[in-house]
Amino acid sequence: MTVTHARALVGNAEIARFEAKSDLTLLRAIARWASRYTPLSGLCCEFNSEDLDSVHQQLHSGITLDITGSLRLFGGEDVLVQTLQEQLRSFSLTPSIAVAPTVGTAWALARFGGKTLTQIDQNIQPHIKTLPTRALRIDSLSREKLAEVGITEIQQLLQISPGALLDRFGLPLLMRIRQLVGHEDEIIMPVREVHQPHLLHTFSEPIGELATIASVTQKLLIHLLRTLEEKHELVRSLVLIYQRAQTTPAQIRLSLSAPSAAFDYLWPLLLPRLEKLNLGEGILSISLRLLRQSRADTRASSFLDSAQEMDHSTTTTRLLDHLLNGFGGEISRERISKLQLLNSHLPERSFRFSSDPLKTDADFFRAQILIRPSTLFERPLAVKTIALLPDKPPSQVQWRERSFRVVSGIGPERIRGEWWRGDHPDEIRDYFRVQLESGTWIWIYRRVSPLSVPSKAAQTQWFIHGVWA
Amino acid sequence: MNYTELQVVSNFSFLRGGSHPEELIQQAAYLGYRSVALADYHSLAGIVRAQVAAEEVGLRLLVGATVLPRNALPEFENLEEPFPSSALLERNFLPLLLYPTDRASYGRLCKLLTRGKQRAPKGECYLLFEDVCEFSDGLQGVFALQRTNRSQAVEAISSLLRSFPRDALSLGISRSYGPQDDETMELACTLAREFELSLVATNDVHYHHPERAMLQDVLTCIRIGTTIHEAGYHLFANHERYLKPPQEMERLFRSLPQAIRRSEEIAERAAGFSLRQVQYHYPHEIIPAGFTALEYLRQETWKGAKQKFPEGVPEKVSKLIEYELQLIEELKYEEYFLTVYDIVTFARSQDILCQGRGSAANSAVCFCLGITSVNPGEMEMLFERFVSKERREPPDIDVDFEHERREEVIQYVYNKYGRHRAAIVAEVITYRGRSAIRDVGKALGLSLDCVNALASAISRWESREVRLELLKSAGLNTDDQAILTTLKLMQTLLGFPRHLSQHVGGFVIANDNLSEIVPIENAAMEDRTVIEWDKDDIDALGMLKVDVLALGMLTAIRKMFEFINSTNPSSLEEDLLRLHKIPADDPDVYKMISRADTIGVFQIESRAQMSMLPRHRPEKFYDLVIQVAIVRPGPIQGNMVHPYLRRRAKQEEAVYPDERIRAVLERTLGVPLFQEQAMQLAIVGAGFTPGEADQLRRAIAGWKRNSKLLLAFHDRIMSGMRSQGYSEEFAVNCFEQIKGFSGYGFPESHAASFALLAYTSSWLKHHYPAAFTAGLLNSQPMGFYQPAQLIRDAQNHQVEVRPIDIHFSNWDCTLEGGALRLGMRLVRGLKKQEAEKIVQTRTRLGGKFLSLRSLWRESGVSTKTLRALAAADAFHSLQLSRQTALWQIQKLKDHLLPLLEQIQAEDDDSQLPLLSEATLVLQDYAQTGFSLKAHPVSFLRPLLERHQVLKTQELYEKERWNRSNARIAGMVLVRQQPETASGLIFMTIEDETGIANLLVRREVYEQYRPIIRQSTFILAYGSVQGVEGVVHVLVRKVEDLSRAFLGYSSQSRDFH
Repeated sequence: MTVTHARALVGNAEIARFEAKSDLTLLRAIARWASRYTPLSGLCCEFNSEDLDSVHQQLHSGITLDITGSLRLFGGEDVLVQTLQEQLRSFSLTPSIAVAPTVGTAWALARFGGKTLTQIDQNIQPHIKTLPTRALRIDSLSREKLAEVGITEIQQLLQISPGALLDRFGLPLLMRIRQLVGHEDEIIMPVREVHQPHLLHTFSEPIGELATIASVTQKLLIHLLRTLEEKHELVRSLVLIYQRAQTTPAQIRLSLSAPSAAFDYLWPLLLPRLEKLNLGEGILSISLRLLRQSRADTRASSFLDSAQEMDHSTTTTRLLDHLLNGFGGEISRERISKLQLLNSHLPERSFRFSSDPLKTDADFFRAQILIRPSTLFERPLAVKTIALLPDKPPSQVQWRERSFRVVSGIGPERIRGEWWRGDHPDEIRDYFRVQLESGTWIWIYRRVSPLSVPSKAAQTQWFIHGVWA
Repeated sequence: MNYTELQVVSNFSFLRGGSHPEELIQQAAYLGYRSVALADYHSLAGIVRAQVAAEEVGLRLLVGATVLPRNALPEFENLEEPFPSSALLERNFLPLLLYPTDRASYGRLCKLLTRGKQRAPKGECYLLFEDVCEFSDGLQGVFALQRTNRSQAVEAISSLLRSFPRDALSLGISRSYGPQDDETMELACTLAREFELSLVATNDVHYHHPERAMLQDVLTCIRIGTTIHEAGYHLFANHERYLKPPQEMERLFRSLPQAIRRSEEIAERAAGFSLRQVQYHYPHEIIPAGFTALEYLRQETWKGAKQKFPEGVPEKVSKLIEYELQLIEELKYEEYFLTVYDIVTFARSQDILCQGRGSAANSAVCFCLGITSVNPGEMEMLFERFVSKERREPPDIDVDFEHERREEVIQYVYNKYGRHRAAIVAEVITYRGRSAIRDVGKALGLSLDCVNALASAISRWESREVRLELLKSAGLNTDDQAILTTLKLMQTLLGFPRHLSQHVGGFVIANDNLSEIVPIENAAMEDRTVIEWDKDDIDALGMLKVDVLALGMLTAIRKMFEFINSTNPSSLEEDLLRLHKIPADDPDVYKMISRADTIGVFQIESRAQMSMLPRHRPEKFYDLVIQVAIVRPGPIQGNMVHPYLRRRAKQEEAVYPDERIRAVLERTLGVPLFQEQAMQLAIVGAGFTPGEADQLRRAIAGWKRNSKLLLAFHDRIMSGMRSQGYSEEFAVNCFEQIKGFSGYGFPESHAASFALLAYTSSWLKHHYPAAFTAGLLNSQPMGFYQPAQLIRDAQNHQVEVRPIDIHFSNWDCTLEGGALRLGMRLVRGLKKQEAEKIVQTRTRLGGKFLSLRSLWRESGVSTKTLRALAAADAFHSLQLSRQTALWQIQKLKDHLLPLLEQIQAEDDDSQLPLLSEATLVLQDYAQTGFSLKAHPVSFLRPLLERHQVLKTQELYEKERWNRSNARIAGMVLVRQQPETASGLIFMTIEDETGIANLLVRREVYEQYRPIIRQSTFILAYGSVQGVEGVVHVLVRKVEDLSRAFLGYSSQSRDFH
């Protein structure tokens, strides 16, 4: 069903996106949390991370705990289950829990048992009879094939000889049946804490020599990069902590605008800052922590390295990265802005200062052929002029309390206000490039009211909008 | 000095020009221009209407086109490039304007454009400089300098000068207050000196009046697929590209008067060609050597007459023939009739059923030529009524062919005349309310939700009127500037051409090369070529057009005839059933029609038609003609249906102001039902000339596009009626009725041909119900009903229907004696080739398969095919049910080696769960949409009875009518929201006894929307409304019954 279809059915339907990734993260967190009750705490079916988005996975999400060994510790099954339930509710989650002799049965009952809490003993059969075939954790194609011969419940399936099923559905179906009834074991893959690489070097005595400290730092960095390389990951940000004798630790934080795992790139960024470090009474230990990393796109990087000709934009981006990373150490990122070309005929809207230096320019081609002054005034300056109409430049301009004779002028270039915007939508400006007797070229425009274009001199007003240096 | 504007694009430069060609011409005349050029981008699509407009205002139209020649063709893989990027590429090419100076150079321009179009994807035109040079003879070229890129310009000019003489190429410059006007001007002067070329002034006109500039900005956004906020430099910097007064142009170019003079020189040369020089000639092949057209037509007509009337041509008919031939001669229509005759003769030689319709079709001549089967001896049809001497309108015959075989006819036309002489007429796809609001809204950056809300707030009928209260109720801010601008611009955009498409079947055939008359482009469909002009353009230039149309019912009727004739022991032609031999005026057939027993019948089978039939009660052929025409938006909108029915039921008298009006309206009881009558009313009542009446016809058809025009006619009609002495009330009434035809009017001549097919199919349904159903089923998809309903209807008419079975079914449905054997074509997801493999294998094996497995192995069909057949329960003769057959098939593996496969033992299927009867029926429905076992609702009947739910059959018992608290349950067959029904939703539901029609009011629909739109089974509460055999249930409340049938799914027609 599409969202449009859903809206057509239920006019005020609230639509939320299925966020497989964050769901999975939450689930992992719960599983980690639940490992306080048993070390065997895992996600129900191992997620195939490539396949996260499939809705099918949603059905499988949930966690599995092997509580066989932990019952005593927590005062028996009932108490444990109740504790779990209460705890989860206190997280604003609504758990549906089933306790059963096999993982398969628990899985099925938790989802299709119709109750939020089910606890059954060794006799599985009566509890699973009327469950639908989808409670078997089998693929939808097999389910459809079963349904077309009228098999929709597990008890109907159990009537069929295994040989007949094997011929038609292969091993997976049989395996699921055997897991359900306990003829086959199932392994729970426990979740583990994911550790960020953390490297530590401790000196036997406080070291005050920069060279030694730099060389150790270098070694740590190389070590980190090697680990990352194996995992095809890149550094986004890291922190170096220098434990100083007798005083607080010193840190160097490095955040990259573009992730990298190249020593030649990272080291020149670190070294100058290391050189400025106050070593105090000497350094006791150096620790290097990776704060954020990102996956390397191996294909792209090898392409970039080998390709002789990188296209212009890539080169520019790279150079810009270097520049910014270089700045980044000295000047706070927030204070760097870049002139960015925008897509507008109106001069004052044709650029802006952007804090995101990686934003690309608008139509570079078009902007290039326009002739614009080197200085554009923040606000156009109203001036008095003597001008011939209809489309001649002024012959005299009153500017800064002085009167200038105009030597020559080029124009007009007519620019219309952006009618789709609220402010001065009807404004029309006739721009002239004008040279004053002083030699200065100024950019001056006449504001015309629309459609009554030239004639009424009284209503036209002149503004200087910029000067050429 | 006289300035002529040479660089003008209209909205036929799609999404570029901001004015209609007519507007540009009118504005030019208003501003005092004596001539003006139209030079659309790569197109001559707008010039015919420009020419017509120019003639009206006494202006000289200069024909031209703008091309963007390039140095190399785009790489092949770039052909599929999405639109926006090709729009970006445009800036790499400089526009070259070309104007023919005589007929021959016009032909070359057409050929040039044809070449560019045929090598480019649809809507594009790729031309090289060398192409332009090749066809340059006699063309005046203006190379429009708009940017200062000297090297590019030098290169282009040098290329062009290889073939253009110096006095045939000029440099065009504009003073449109651009960023570098002075620099461009300087460059132009330098280039002109260097190359010894003249400069010519233009204003690069994109719209006729400055007020269109905003729309032009929006069009640019639509063209490159962006919003106005993002478009930036894609827009023109200012709004100067309007048609400026010549004096203003002279002022702007006061420093360069020679550029103004040059425009006049070019105009004079371009005036050497006028569109009126394009002469059309009928193809010569249609007349055998030694005959004149009339002699040949006369000979063939009489030959046909003798065949059609073996017992001698009745005097009435022979008189008619002679009279018509005389008229045809006078109007010089002989060749037209012969062209159609040739096509129809081909179709007949191939046993392709066809039927002509249109103004000239219902004539004795056409009957004799076999173009139509409406027998002039039996029908009171006046040829003159359709072809009028005074009106001088071009003859019009549309021919419908069997839809499955029309392509053969089209390919015959192409083969006979060649692709260079025959092509399909264009259809100009224009902006309608919703498309206009979508595109404008998106361009102005409105959110998708907002655009959708706006679009749905546009009344479907009056697409010009946006209901503000609807907008408010949809939560839109009606004071919002963007929304208001959208609405305003959208009004102007309505009727703007958006792209060219191909007409459904209109062919032009010429004696000469078509590509020298008009550019030809490839159609979206392979093997088709389309000209750039539409049917009105063709009309205006007096070119022949034959409509080769497709009609499903003809296919079905041919198949019905084949069934019937194949059971006829005699194979003599005179014993066989043919279209023209269906006995006329069979009272039993009319009785059946009056009962609305018309499922499957042509035209009169829809719900709306069926609800009219018991009230109308047709008794003769002309009643059917009216029946076909009356249930149409035109008459319904014009409030003509009820007066007609009242008068027919003799509840009121038709009153005519005088005898002349009576003559026009009497046959339809004083109500104008047909387009012809509307025009005659204008002639008789308001004193229109036939020519004016024809203009009125066009104005009516295009009323939605151009309401100003209709307003002019309104005044003209009112004053005309007044001066003829008719009352104000009558005049107002007449005008409203005429207006009701806007775009939907149905001509009597078409209605007559449709009525004949309606009668024919009714006759077949009445006398040969099994053959009728088989013919329909074998021609699906067509018509109003699903196979399931057709089968059910056949059963209701005592036809024995036998299930699909691998031993007995062919691909098509067949007749087994009197019984109907369903064909494998009804099996969902089954391919025809696969079904045929089975049929062939069956024949090879002597008609018997040993087992499912042997069928599979012997025929080599895929397991997918077997599954489809099993799902349709087609293995019964192998003692396999759907369940057991599927169980066996699940074991078969397409790729398994035969040896391995034999190891697998046949296992028994007794372990499978038993299925209930209801489940089996539901599975039937899920798989094929019907069941020969039972109706699913019958399984719920005990439950329904406990809740006092009526059977649909019981609704037709008069004592239940007007009961307010009825309950009715059934399976949903149809949901419809007809445009004419002011928000009412129609549903048809079915139970085991028949069908019931439900009416759902808007507010009820809103309340139960999910159920009404989604559920397969419903229980409806409401009041029964019955009038003269027509029964509806006005629904108050709906419940979902689907849950009673879990796992069921079926197809039903959704809202269209």
